[in-house]
Amino acid sequence: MKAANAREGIGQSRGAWQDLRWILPLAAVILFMPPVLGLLDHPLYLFGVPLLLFYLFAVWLVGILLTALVAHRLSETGSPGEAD
Amino acid sequence: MLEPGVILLIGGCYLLGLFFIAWWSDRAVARGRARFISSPAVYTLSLAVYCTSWTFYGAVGSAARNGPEFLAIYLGPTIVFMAWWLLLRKLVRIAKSQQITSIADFISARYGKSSSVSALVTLIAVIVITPYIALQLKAIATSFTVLSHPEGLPLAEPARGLLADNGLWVAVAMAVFVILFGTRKIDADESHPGVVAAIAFESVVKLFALLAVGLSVTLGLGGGLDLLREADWSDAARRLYSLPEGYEARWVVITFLAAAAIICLPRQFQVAIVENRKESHLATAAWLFPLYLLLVCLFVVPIAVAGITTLPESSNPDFYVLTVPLAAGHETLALLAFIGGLSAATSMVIVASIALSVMISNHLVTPLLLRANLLRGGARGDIAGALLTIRRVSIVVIVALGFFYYRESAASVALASIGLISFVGVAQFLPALIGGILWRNATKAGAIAGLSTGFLLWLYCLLTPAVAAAWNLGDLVSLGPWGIAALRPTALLGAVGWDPLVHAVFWSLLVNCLAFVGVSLVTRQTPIERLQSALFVDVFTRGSEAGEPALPRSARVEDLFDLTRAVLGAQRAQALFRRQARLQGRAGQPPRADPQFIAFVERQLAGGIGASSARLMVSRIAQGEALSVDTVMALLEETQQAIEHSRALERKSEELHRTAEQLQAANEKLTQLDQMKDDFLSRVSHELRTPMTSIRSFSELLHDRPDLDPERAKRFISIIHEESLRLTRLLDDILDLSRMERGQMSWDIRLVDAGEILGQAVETMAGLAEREGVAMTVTPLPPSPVHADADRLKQVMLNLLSNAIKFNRGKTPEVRAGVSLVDGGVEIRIEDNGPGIADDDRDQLFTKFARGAQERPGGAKGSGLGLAISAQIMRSLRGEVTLERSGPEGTVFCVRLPSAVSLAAK
Repeated sequence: MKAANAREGIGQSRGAWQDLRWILPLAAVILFMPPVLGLLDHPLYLFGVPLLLFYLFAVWLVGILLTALVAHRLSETGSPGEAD
Repeated sequence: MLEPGVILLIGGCYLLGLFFIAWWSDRAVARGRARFISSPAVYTLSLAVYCTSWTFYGAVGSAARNGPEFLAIYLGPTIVFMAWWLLLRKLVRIAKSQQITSIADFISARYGKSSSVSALVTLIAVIVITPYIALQLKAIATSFTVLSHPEGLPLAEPARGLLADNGLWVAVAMAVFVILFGTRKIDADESHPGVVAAIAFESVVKLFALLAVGLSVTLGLGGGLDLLREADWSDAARRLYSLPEGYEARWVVITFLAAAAIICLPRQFQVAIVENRKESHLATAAWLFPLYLLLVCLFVVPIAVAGITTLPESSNPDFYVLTVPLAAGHETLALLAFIGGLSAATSMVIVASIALSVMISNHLVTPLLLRANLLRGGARGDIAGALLTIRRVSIVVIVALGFFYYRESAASVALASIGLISFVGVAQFLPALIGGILWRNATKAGAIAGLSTGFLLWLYCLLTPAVAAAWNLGDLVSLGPWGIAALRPTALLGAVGWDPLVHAVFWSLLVNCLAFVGVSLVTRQTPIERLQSALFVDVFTRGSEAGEPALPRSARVEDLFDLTRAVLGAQRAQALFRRQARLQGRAGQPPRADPQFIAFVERQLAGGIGASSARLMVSRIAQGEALSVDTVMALLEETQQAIEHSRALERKSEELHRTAEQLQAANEKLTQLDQMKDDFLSRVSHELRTPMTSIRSFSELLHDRPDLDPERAKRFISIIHEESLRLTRLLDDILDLSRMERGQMSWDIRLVDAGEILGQAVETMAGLAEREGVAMTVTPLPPSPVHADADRLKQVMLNLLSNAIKFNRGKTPEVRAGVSLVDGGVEIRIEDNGPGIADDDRDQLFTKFARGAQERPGGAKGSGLGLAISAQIMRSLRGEVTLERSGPEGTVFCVRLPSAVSLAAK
């Protein structure tokens, strides 16, 4: 019973990582596209860096980190599922 | 002041260095060393061939002209790599299973191994990529001029003689490099370790150079620009980091184009798909490659800001990377930037010319020669040699085309615009490519229709305006052909005022997609197309284990061997045939030429000369019945059923195996339990029998002899009393144990001090110890908080202490007790110097009625359940009791519990 629960737990967290594979590129598409970019195009500065540039590079870096994390997680729990 | 001679010398040395790296890596790999070349990191660095001189110089130029728009060119590929498992993985899997050699090969293999499709794709690629190669040569030549004219570039570049043009020498060096390291052999396992190593090295160099320039700009190049100071983002450069009016369409289109280019550019397809060694490398590249792109882009805006604020307006922004350090007097840095630009340009020329030469030789020249019967696969034919020659000639032709384009294109088109024009050109492959792996019913006619209409519109809408000035086409562009305004190349059908790039992308891809889908819907697939489309679209579900469905064909094995030898060389052909024969169970004989084997040979040939040429050659020597779509469908279904059948069988047998294992384990356990139950019962009856026997005999005595003297009667009664007490204790113990085993015991868990409990237990036992003449010592007890039931824990200690005292038959019997704190736990040790426990008894020590508990010297008796109860209690308290050691010098028992302190800390 315990073992079955544990397996289910792994399955669930793996499922969440699998979902993240979809969410990451979709979020990147939305965050890197015009309506959002237009919202950030103001003469404001964050840590002395223009807001728009700061935003683009920050989102980019976070996306890279999350992609690395997902790739790492999914390779840890086995090869990524075949049937997508 | 940099002397032109010095620059040439250093540039020449760099190129020689590249030759050395390629030569060394080829040798190292041939000797089985330098495994790092097939690592995911080197794979990622080879992908960075995406960043050409168009990036190295052009990104800053683009930023200076159009603001943050340049970033879209790197965000597109980032998104594609984030979704690597969606497209890239499928492309890699298909390319591996079909032995694909290039993007033209891929598309043609999908559409029935059609040689017309591959020829069309090859033609488009050559026309689109030639200006791109020209751009690289131009960048090298111009950067040289800029570097050797520190006082500023003369507005009109001086006309240079052909031999004085260093673009020529770079072109020659590149052609020699690619011929030496890129066309060594025709091999199904097409790999160029030397080239890959050189490209990876160049990727490191260009990134390093760009970062060096960027860091010196931001960290102080004559005061420099402090990135983190608002005031330093001068207002003059405001447009560098804000979006221009109406930026939306261009931004979306450029991101899309870049995303398409990372798959469709022939050189990217070459490094990402064809040269991929392992599918798992993609998972690393998924984040490492975007990271590389991010680093490349990081300092682009600061360099552009520095250029705009410190350099005169006449200075060309495309070469800020060189002129900014030069103006600040950092000549070494400028030289490093020049080398970086050189590496960016040469890596592109190398990979693009390899990819294009493979395409030209496999898809244009070989099919022509085959049709003209000039290339024979007969016994004396040497197609491999001819093919290598064709490839080498193609390389020279490609580089020469690029060079002459660069010499002739007087119209100075900005670097960035040539790059984007090429991107739109290769994006025409996208519908046929992606449609081909996702849509089963896409047909060859649809692909040809889409590719050709898209390409023609690209020529008309984008290339014509770009070359209008040079080719005297101004009227056509401004008035339209025959004066029809609705047909103007930049304002087709009334789309006036659109950005030219957006306009061209919209019309070419719209018509491309419509033609592809529309024609696919009204045409029918030939049998071989049907077969290939199933193999491509269902590559994941079909799996590789069942093999591919083979068309029913027959051929003479000698003919097949001659053909393979002619294409792949005698050595490889022999190895292949021998291995297949072994797999067929015919070691030492020629393999059987069954349909599977013919399909295998065709695939191996395809790895060398492309799918369409391979099919053409094999079909000349193999006879088959006329194919119908029904036959193919039956074939596909057959293999599909076979796959499903074998999978179902595998699953079932696995299940059976698992069930059998479980049953066996359960059976063993039951037998064991049964045995234990029997043992237990016999021991309980034995234990009960002894006191019962004495109670019975003494009570019989009392009963039968009423005349017994009162003294003796009293003694008998007290024995009966003692024995019944013992009986009760035994029954209590049995009840306790069974309650604990069934988990029905109620526990009173509190924070208690183990040392204190040990102290109490020792005090309780002091009387017994004195009676038995045992010296009992306690080492000082440190505070040792644990979560436990105090009474039960004390019971364990009492039991261990009483055992230690009762069974200690030494001359000077001693018992020592103590508590120690170890790594997150509390250990209670009880030692004696008794005779020790017999080896045979140790295994059974903690089981019920263990033998050791019953037969002891001196007749000491316990219930035989003490240690079993102790072990059960400790298990319930999440601790354990163990026999640490036992021998003639004494016995040590150890009780362990997790410390309450370490639990709280966690």
